[in-house]
Amino acid sequence: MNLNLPILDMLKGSRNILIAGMGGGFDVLSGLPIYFELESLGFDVHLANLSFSDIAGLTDGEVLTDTLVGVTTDLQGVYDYFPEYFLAEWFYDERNEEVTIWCFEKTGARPLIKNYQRLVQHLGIDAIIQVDGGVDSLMHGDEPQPGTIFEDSLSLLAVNELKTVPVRLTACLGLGIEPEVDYPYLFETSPNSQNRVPSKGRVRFSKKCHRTAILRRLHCIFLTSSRTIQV
Amino acid sequence: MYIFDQQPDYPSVIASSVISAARGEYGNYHLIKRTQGSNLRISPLMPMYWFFDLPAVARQNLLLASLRLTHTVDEAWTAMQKARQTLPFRKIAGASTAVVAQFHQRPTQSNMVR
Repeated sequence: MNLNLPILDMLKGSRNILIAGMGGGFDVLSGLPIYFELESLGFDVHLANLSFSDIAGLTDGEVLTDTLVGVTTDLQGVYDYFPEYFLAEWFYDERNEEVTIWCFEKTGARPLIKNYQRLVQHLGIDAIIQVDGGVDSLMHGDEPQPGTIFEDSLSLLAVNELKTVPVRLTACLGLGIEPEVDYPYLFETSPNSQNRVPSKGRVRFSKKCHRTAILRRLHCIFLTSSRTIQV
Repeated sequence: MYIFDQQPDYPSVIASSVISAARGEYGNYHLIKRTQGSNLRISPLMPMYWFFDLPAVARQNLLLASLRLTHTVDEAWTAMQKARQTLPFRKIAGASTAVVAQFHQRPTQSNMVR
Protein backbone atom coordinates (compact mmCIF):
# COMPACT_ATOMS: atom_id res chain seq x y z
CA MET A 1 0.00 0.00 0.00
CA ASN A 2 1.32 3.41 -0.94
CA LEU A 3 -0.04 6.50 0.76
CA ASN A 4 0.16 9.84 -0.92
CA LEU A 5 1.13 11.58 2.30
CA PRO A 6 0.80 15.37 2.10
CA ILE A 7 3.13 15.87 5.07
CA LEU A 8 6.39 14.59 3.63
CA ASP A 9 7.64 18.09 2.83
CA MET A 10 7.20 19.04 6.46
CA LEU A 11 9.11 15.96 7.59
CA LYS A 12 12.08 16.57 5.30
CA GLY A 13 14.44 17.58 8.10
CA SER A 14 13.16 14.95 10.53
CA ARG A 15 14.70 11.64 11.44
CA ASN A 16 12.95 10.25 14.52
CA ILE A 17 9.19 10.47 14.33
CA LEU A 18 6.77 9.70 17.14
CA ILE A 19 3.27 8.64 16.18
CA ALA A 20 1.11 9.01 19.27
CA GLY A 21 -2.52 8.08 19.77
CA MET A 22 -4.15 11.05 21.45
CA GLY A 23 -7.61 9.98 22.58
CA GLY A 24 -6.75 6.73 24.26
CA GLY A 25 -7.81 3.19 23.56
CA PHE A 26 -7.35 2.26 19.93
CA ASP A 27 -6.16 5.60 18.58
CA VAL A 28 -2.63 4.33 18.01
CA LEU A 29 -4.04 1.83 15.51
CA SER A 30 -5.27 4.74 13.40
CA GLY A 31 -1.63 5.76 13.00
CA LEU A 32 -0.42 2.42 11.65
CA PRO A 33 -0.80 3.19 7.92
CA ILE A 34 1.34 6.33 8.44
CA TYR A 35 3.77 4.28 10.52
CA PHE A 36 4.34 1.73 7.76
CA GLU A 37 4.59 4.37 5.07
CA LEU A 38 7.14 6.49 6.93
CA GLU A 39 9.10 3.42 7.93
CA SER A 40 9.33 2.31 4.31
CA LEU A 41 10.64 5.77 3.45
CA GLY A 42 13.53 5.27 5.86
CA PHE A 43 12.39 7.24 8.90
CA ASP A 44 12.82 5.90 12.43
CA VAL A 45 9.24 5.73 13.58
CA HIS A 46 8.03 5.08 17.11
CA LEU A 47 4.56 4.36 18.44
CA ALA A 48 2.95 5.69 21.60
CA ASN A 49 -0.56 5.87 23.00
CA LEU A 50 -2.52 7.46 25.77
CA SER A 51 -3.59 4.22 27.39
CA PHE A 52 -6.79 3.15 29.11
CA SER A 53 -5.00 0.17 30.58
CA ASP A 54 -3.40 0.07 34.03
CA ILE A 55 0.03 1.37 33.03
CA ALA A 56 0.98 2.59 36.51
CA GLY A 57 0.33 -0.94 37.81
CA LEU A 58 2.81 -2.59 35.41
CA THR A 59 5.99 -3.89 36.99
CA ASP A 60 7.64 -5.11 33.80
CA GLY A 61 8.16 -3.51 30.39
CA GLU A 62 10.52 -0.59 29.85
CA VAL A 63 9.59 1.75 32.68
CA LEU A 64 10.62 5.36 31.98
CA THR A 65 8.47 6.93 34.68
CA ASP A 66 5.71 5.64 36.99
CA THR A 67 3.18 6.57 34.35
CA LEU A 68 5.11 5.94 31.12
CA VAL A 69 5.98 2.39 30.17
CA GLY A 70 7.26 0.81 26.97
CA VAL A 71 5.07 -2.23 26.34
CA THR A 72 6.54 -5.24 24.55
CA THR A 73 5.63 -8.90 24.25
CA ASP A 74 7.86 -9.56 27.29
CA LEU A 75 5.03 -8.50 29.57
CA GLN A 76 3.86 -11.30 31.85
CA GLY A 77 0.13 -11.16 32.25
CA VAL A 78 -3.26 -12.12 30.88
CA TYR A 79 -5.26 -9.20 29.58
CA ASP A 80 -8.81 -8.88 28.34
CA TYR A 81 -8.31 -5.22 27.34
CA PHE A 82 -4.85 -4.01 26.36
CA PRO A 83 -4.72 -2.97 22.68
CA GLU A 84 -1.14 -1.73 22.98
CA TYR A 85 0.09 -5.11 24.23
CA PHE A 86 -1.82 -6.96 21.51
CA LEU A 87 -0.37 -4.60 18.92
CA ALA A 88 3.16 -5.46 20.13
CA GLU A 89 2.14 -9.11 19.97
CA TRP A 90 0.84 -8.66 16.41
CA PHE A 91 4.15 -7.11 15.32
CA TYR A 92 5.96 -10.08 16.84
CA ASP A 93 3.68 -12.81 15.49
CA GLU A 94 2.92 -11.45 12.05
CA ARG A 95 6.03 -9.43 11.17
CA ASN A 96 8.65 -10.98 13.41
CA GLU A 97 9.48 -7.54 14.83
CA GLU A 98 9.98 -6.39 18.40
CA VAL A 99 8.18 -3.07 18.51
CA THR A 100 7.81 -1.15 21.75
CA ILE A 101 4.50 0.64 22.20
CA TRP A 102 5.01 3.51 24.63
CA CYS A 103 2.00 3.88 26.89
CA PHE A 104 1.06 7.00 28.80
CA GLU A 105 -1.09 6.39 31.86
CA LYS A 106 -4.18 8.57 31.85
CA THR A 107 -3.12 11.41 34.15
CA GLY A 108 -3.66 15.13 34.51
CA ALA A 109 -1.79 17.57 32.27
CA ARG A 110 1.41 18.09 34.30
CA PRO A 111 2.49 14.43 34.48
CA LEU A 112 1.49 13.89 30.84
CA ILE A 113 3.61 16.84 29.68
CA LYS A 114 6.56 15.51 31.68
CA ASN A 115 6.08 12.03 30.24
CA TYR A 116 6.03 13.38 26.70
CA GLN A 117 9.19 15.39 27.42
CA ARG A 118 10.88 12.32 28.82
CA LEU A 119 9.94 10.17 25.83
CA VAL A 120 11.04 12.82 23.33
CA GLN A 121 14.38 13.01 25.12
CA HIS A 122 14.71 9.22 25.40
CA LEU A 123 14.07 8.55 21.72
CA GLY A 124 15.57 11.75 20.29
CA ILE A 125 12.24 12.66 18.68
CA ASP A 126 12.24 15.56 16.20
CA ALA A 127 8.70 15.23 14.85
CA ILE A 128 5.43 14.22 16.46
CA ILE A 129 2.27 13.16 14.66
CA GLN A 130 -0.61 12.89 17.06
CA VAL A 131 -3.28 10.60 15.76
CA ASP A 132 -6.97 10.78 16.55
CA GLY A 133 -9.33 7.97 15.66
CA GLY A 134 -12.26 10.19 14.75
CA VAL A 135 -12.26 13.97 14.54
CA ASP A 136 -13.37 15.16 17.96
CA SER A 137 -9.87 16.47 18.71
CA LEU A 138 -10.74 19.32 16.32
CA MET A 139 -13.65 20.48 18.45
CA HIS A 140 -13.34 23.79 20.25
CA GLY A 141 -15.19 22.83 23.43
CA ASP A 142 -18.18 25.15 23.05
CA GLU A 143 -20.24 22.75 20.93
CA PRO A 144 -23.33 21.17 22.50
CA GLN A 145 -22.00 17.71 21.60
CA PRO A 146 -18.23 17.80 21.20
CA GLY A 147 -17.69 14.04 21.48
CA THR A 148 -15.14 12.58 23.86
CA ILE A 149 -12.69 15.46 23.83
CA PHE A 150 -11.26 15.06 27.31
CA GLU A 151 -8.33 12.78 26.49
CA ASP A 152 -7.76 14.45 23.11
CA SER A 153 -7.49 17.84 24.79
CA LEU A 154 -5.00 16.58 27.37
CA SER A 155 -2.76 15.07 24.68
CA LEU A 156 -3.10 18.13 22.49
CA LEU A 157 -2.07 20.34 25.39
CA ALA A 158 0.91 18.14 26.21
CA VAL A 159 2.36 18.15 22.70
CA ASN A 160 1.56 21.83 22.24
CA GLU A 161 3.84 22.49 25.21
CA LEU A 162 6.76 20.70 23.55
CA LYS A 163 7.98 23.82 21.80
CA THR A 164 11.42 22.35 21.15
CA VAL A 165 10.08 19.68 18.79
CA PRO A 166 10.20 21.37 15.37
CA VAL A 167 7.40 19.47 13.63
CA ARG A 168 4.11 18.77 15.38
CA LEU A 169 1.06 17.58 13.47
CA THR A 170 -2.38 16.22 14.18
CA ALA A 171 -3.81 13.50 11.97
CA CYS A 172 -7.49 12.57 12.10
CA LEU A 173 -8.86 9.38 10.64
CA GLY A 174 -12.53 8.47 10.49
CA LEU A 175 -14.60 11.54 9.68
CA GLY A 176 -18.23 10.73 10.42
CA ILE A 177 -17.77 7.68 12.63
CA GLU A 178 -18.39 9.20 16.04
CA PRO A 179 -22.15 9.46 16.57
CA GLU A 180 -21.83 11.96 19.42
CA VAL A 181 -20.03 14.71 17.49
CA ASP A 182 -21.74 17.85 16.16
CA TYR A 183 -20.27 17.69 12.66
CA PRO A 184 -21.62 21.00 11.32
CA TYR A 185 -19.56 22.79 13.97
CA LEU A 186 -16.42 21.09 12.79
CA PHE A 187 -16.07 23.29 9.75
CA GLU A 188 -16.23 26.67 11.36
CA THR A 189 -14.05 28.53 13.81
CA SER A 190 -15.53 29.63 17.10
CA PRO A 191 -15.64 33.40 17.60
CA ASN A 192 -13.98 32.66 20.95
CA SER A 193 -11.04 30.93 19.33
CA GLN A 194 -7.57 32.43 19.18
CA ASN A 195 -7.35 31.52 15.49
CA ARG A 196 -8.77 34.82 14.35
CA VAL A 197 -6.80 35.32 11.18
CA PRO A 198 -8.59 33.58 8.33
CA SER A 199 -6.25 31.20 6.61
CA LYS A 200 -6.22 29.16 3.46
CA GLY A 201 -8.16 25.95 3.63
CA ARG A 202 -10.47 27.02 6.43
CA VAL A 203 -14.06 26.20 5.78
CA ARG A 204 -17.10 28.27 6.66
CA PHE A 205 -20.72 27.61 5.96
CA SER A 206 -22.56 29.99 3.75
CA LYS A 207 -25.79 31.51 4.99
CA LYS A 208 -27.87 29.18 2.93
CA CYS A 209 -26.31 26.15 4.44
CA HIS A 210 -27.80 22.84 3.41
CA ARG A 211 -26.60 19.33 2.95
CA THR A 212 -25.35 19.74 -0.60
CA ALA A 213 -23.33 22.72 0.50
CA ILE A 214 -21.77 20.70 3.27
CA LEU A 215 -20.76 17.96 0.87
CA ARG A 216 -19.41 20.49 -1.60
CA ARG A 217 -17.29 22.03 1.12
CA LEU A 218 -15.96 18.64 2.14
CA HIS A 219 -14.94 18.06 -1.43
CA CYS A 220 -13.04 21.34 -1.35
CA ILE A 221 -10.99 20.16 1.59
CA PHE A 222 -10.28 16.93 -0.20
CA LEU A 223 -8.94 18.78 -3.20
CA THR A 224 -6.75 21.02 -1.11
CA SER A 225 -5.47 18.22 1.06
CA SER A 226 -2.23 17.98 -0.87
CA ARG A 227 -1.00 20.48 1.65
CA THR A 228 -1.65 20.64 5.35
CA ILE A 229 -4.77 22.58 6.12
CA GLN A 230 -4.43 25.35 8.62
CA VAL A 231 -7.45 25.30 10.90
CA MET B 1 -8.52 -7.62 13.07
CA TYR B 2 -5.82 -9.55 14.96
CA ILE B 3 -6.33 -7.34 17.98
CA PHE B 4 -10.12 -7.75 17.76
CA ASP B 5 -9.57 -11.51 17.91
CA GLN B 6 -7.28 -11.21 20.92
CA GLN B 7 -9.75 -9.15 22.93
CA PRO B 8 -13.10 -10.17 21.47
CA ASP B 9 -15.13 -8.36 24.12
CA TYR B 10 -13.70 -4.96 23.25
CA PRO B 11 -13.52 -4.30 19.51
CA SER B 12 -13.00 -0.71 18.35
CA VAL B 13 -15.91 1.05 16.69
CA ILE B 14 -13.55 3.54 15.00
CA ALA B 15 -11.15 0.92 13.67
CA SER B 16 -13.94 -1.36 12.47
CA SER B 17 -15.70 1.50 10.66
CA VAL B 18 -12.45 2.53 8.94
CA ILE B 19 -11.89 -1.09 7.88
CA SER B 20 -15.46 -1.33 6.54
CA ALA B 21 -15.11 1.92 4.60
CA ALA B 22 -11.72 0.98 3.17
CA ARG B 23 -13.26 -2.28 1.96
CA GLY B 24 -15.88 -0.27 0.09
CA GLU B 25 -18.87 -0.82 2.35
CA TYR B 26 -21.44 1.94 2.63
CA GLY B 27 -24.30 2.97 4.92
CA ASN B 28 -25.56 0.95 7.83
CA TYR B 29 -22.99 -1.84 7.63
CA HIS B 30 -21.85 -3.63 10.78
CA LEU B 31 -18.49 -5.39 10.84
CA ILE B 32 -18.61 -6.15 14.56
CA LYS B 33 -21.35 -7.24 16.94
CA ARG B 34 -20.80 -4.30 19.28
CA THR B 35 -22.42 -1.80 16.90
CA GLN B 36 -25.48 -3.94 16.13
CA GLY B 37 -28.63 -1.99 16.84
CA SER B 38 -27.07 1.41 16.18
CA ASN B 39 -27.29 3.26 12.90
CA LEU B 40 -23.88 3.46 11.25
CA ARG B 41 -23.15 5.66 8.26
CA ILE B 42 -20.10 4.08 6.69
CA SER B 43 -18.79 6.39 3.96
CA PRO B 44 -15.75 6.98 1.76
CA LEU B 45 -14.77 9.91 4.01
CA MET B 46 -13.82 7.53 6.77
CA PRO B 47 -10.56 6.04 5.47
CA MET B 48 -9.12 9.49 4.67
CA TYR B 49 -6.47 11.16 6.79
CA TRP B 50 -6.87 14.84 7.64
CA PHE B 51 -3.66 16.55 8.69
CA PHE B 52 -3.47 19.74 10.70
CA ASP B 53 -0.81 21.90 12.25
CA LEU B 54 -0.97 20.86 15.89
CA PRO B 55 -0.30 24.27 17.50
CA ALA B 56 -3.13 25.70 15.36
CA VAL B 57 -5.52 23.01 16.59
CA ALA B 58 -4.40 23.72 20.14
CA ARG B 59 -5.05 27.44 19.68
CA GLN B 60 -8.66 26.87 18.70
CA ASN B 61 -9.35 24.55 21.65
CA LEU B 62 -11.03 26.63 24.33
CA LEU B 63 -10.49 24.13 27.14
CA LEU B 64 -6.70 23.79 27.19
CA ALA B 65 -6.03 26.74 29.48
CA SER B 66 -8.19 25.20 32.19
CA LEU B 67 -6.40 21.84 31.94
CA ARG B 68 -2.84 23.15 32.01
CA LEU B 69 -2.19 23.02 35.76
CA THR B 70 -3.92 19.78 36.59
CA HIS B 71 -2.16 16.75 38.06
CA THR B 72 -4.74 14.00 38.36
CA VAL B 73 -7.37 12.80 35.92
CA ASP B 74 -10.18 13.73 38.30
CA GLU B 75 -8.79 17.22 38.70
CA ALA B 76 -8.53 17.62 34.92
CA TRP B 77 -12.04 16.27 34.37
CA THR B 78 -13.54 18.68 36.91
CA ALA B 79 -11.59 21.59 35.41
CA MET B 80 -12.86 20.73 31.93
CA GLN B 81 -16.49 20.43 33.04
CA LYS B 82 -16.18 23.77 34.82
CA ALA B 83 -14.71 25.42 31.75
CA ARG B 84 -17.45 23.95 29.56
CA GLN B 85 -20.11 25.40 31.84
CA THR B 86 -18.71 28.89 31.48
CA LEU B 87 -18.80 28.70 27.67
CA PRO B 88 -22.05 29.57 25.94
CA PHE B 89 -22.95 26.95 23.34
CA ARG B 90 -21.89 28.13 19.92
CA LYS B 91 -24.51 28.57 17.27
CA ILE B 92 -23.78 27.59 13.70
CA ALA B 93 -23.34 30.74 11.66
CA GLY B 94 -26.11 31.08 9.13
CA ALA B 95 -27.64 27.68 9.75
CA SER B 96 -31.09 27.53 11.27
CA THR B 97 -31.72 24.97 13.99
CA ALA B 98 -34.04 23.15 11.63
CA VAL B 99 -31.28 22.67 9.08
CA VAL B 100 -28.89 21.38 11.71
CA ALA B 101 -31.54 19.01 13.05
CA GLN B 102 -32.22 17.82 9.52
CA PHE B 103 -28.53 17.09 9.06
CA HIS B 104 -28.51 14.97 12.19
CA GLN B 105 -31.62 13.00 11.40
CA ARG B 106 -30.92 12.47 7.75
CA PRO B 107 -31.97 8.92 6.90
CA THR B 108 -29.31 6.74 5.33
CA GLN B 109 -29.60 4.06 2.74
CA SER B 110 -29.19 0.98 4.82
CA ASN B 111 -27.11 -1.99 3.84
CA MET B 112 -26.19 -0.54 0.48
CA VAL B 113 -22.91 -2.04 -0.63
CA ARG B 114 -20.66 -0.20 -3.06
